[in-house]
Amino acid sequence: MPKELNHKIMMKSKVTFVLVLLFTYIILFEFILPFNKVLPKPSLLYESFLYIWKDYDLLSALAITSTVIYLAIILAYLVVYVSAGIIIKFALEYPDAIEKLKVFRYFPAFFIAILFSYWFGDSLIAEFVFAFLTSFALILFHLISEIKNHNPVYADTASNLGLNKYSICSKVIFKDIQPNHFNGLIRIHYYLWILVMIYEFINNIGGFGGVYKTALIYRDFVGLFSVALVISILILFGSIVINYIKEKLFFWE
Amino acid sequence: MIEINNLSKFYSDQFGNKIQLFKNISFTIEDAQITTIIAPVGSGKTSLLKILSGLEKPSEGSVDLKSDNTIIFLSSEPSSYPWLSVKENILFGLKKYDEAKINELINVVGLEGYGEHFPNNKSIGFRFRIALARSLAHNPECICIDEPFNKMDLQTKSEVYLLIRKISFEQKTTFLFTTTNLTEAIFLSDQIYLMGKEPASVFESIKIDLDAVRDLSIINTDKFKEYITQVETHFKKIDAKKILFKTI
Repeated sequence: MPKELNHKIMMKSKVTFVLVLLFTYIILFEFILPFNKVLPKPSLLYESFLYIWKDYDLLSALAITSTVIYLAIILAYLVVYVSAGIIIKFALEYPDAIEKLKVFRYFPAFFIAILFSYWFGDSLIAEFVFAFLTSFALILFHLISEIKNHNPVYADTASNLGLNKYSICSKVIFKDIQPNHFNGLIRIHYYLWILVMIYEFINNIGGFGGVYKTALIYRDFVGLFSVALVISILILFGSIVINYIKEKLFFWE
Repeated sequence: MIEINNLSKFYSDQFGNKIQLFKNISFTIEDAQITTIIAPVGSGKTSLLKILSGLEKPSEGSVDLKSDNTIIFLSSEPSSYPWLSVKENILFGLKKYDEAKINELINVVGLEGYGEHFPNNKSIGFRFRIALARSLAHNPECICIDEPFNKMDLQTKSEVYLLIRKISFEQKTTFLFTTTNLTEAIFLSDQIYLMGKEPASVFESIKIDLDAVRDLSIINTDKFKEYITQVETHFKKIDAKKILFKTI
């Protein structure tokens, strides 16, 4: 099946799923169970959507959290991109060292978020440094895990054509795994959203995490749900942008 | 001319036992000719070509070249880089190049007008032509090609057979092929070497005395059929059951 057709079918089924979910939510919580402790009434949600932007200063929260997350991902990706040749060469020459480093994969990032918040407090720069280091580690480990999926025929060909080991790693192996590596950014950015919001929640920084904390203190159920909806839309938008960049730049998957 | 002298290759299996893949392989590859090795599956054809092109080291023996030019190895899998255009693929690994020569090579392999196209989502035949042009750009001593036609359809195979004969004749390029297909071996080659199995070694050589410029009608000639019978007879003697007696 052609890739474009497959993509269209996938998009269609996703949209159908979201529409069915929305329809079920409206019918169930507007008409059948309007008073419940699970989800707010859709009409109430609609009415409160405008006031939460003003009450919680959602625009500023959106600017802080999304800037921290996407700037950190872009910077971390660029650092890995520039040093990919050295990283891949090291990983291929010292596989045992890489195996030992993999132990950090089991080290919970939530714990690092807590440590960082205790060390640096409610500083926005510390939040950015935390986001950058976390995304760098995630992108780096993802690159290392993708190395085993490279096509050895490409590397053999480059070696046969006289390229040195560094050039083979940077010009061939990295290029070969780049589409899959970039694909991993979608999953990494979901994870980073959670971590950054936890960081903001702990330190009560004015991002979405801080908004969540305020909404929880005031037991604003509708506010919590509305913010969750805004975050979901932002994450979805982020995924679409990453996917679009991948289709345009790394078309050879 | 390339002389292969007493090449042997050992490897260790998962239990650490030393296994000999092939032993004392000696043969000669003449300049501007197409040489083919016919051997059963699992006899170490790929390893042999990788040793000749310097990608693997032999356990014993040597490969003697008369020039400093490289031996290019083309795998049975497509080796053109999908992230580079046809032209960029051909330039890959070249330190200096002549633009006119590159354009000429694009034309020689039948890719005129496709210089800026990318090989991803293109056919095996298209990607093979790119790899062939890239190999020619390096002005190699010999191009070693490992079972390149396995995944090609009939039409593409026929076109590529004729293309390789044409390149060998017009550009005076030396080729070494490995295959399990008798018809394609005899059609393509000026010289054939037959290899047995466990551990493999060259046990017969046959000079193919057909016209230098060939078309596919040659397959139906009596002389061609005689060569097929000759090769089959040699293999029957050593009971190599996995050789494919195919026609194109």
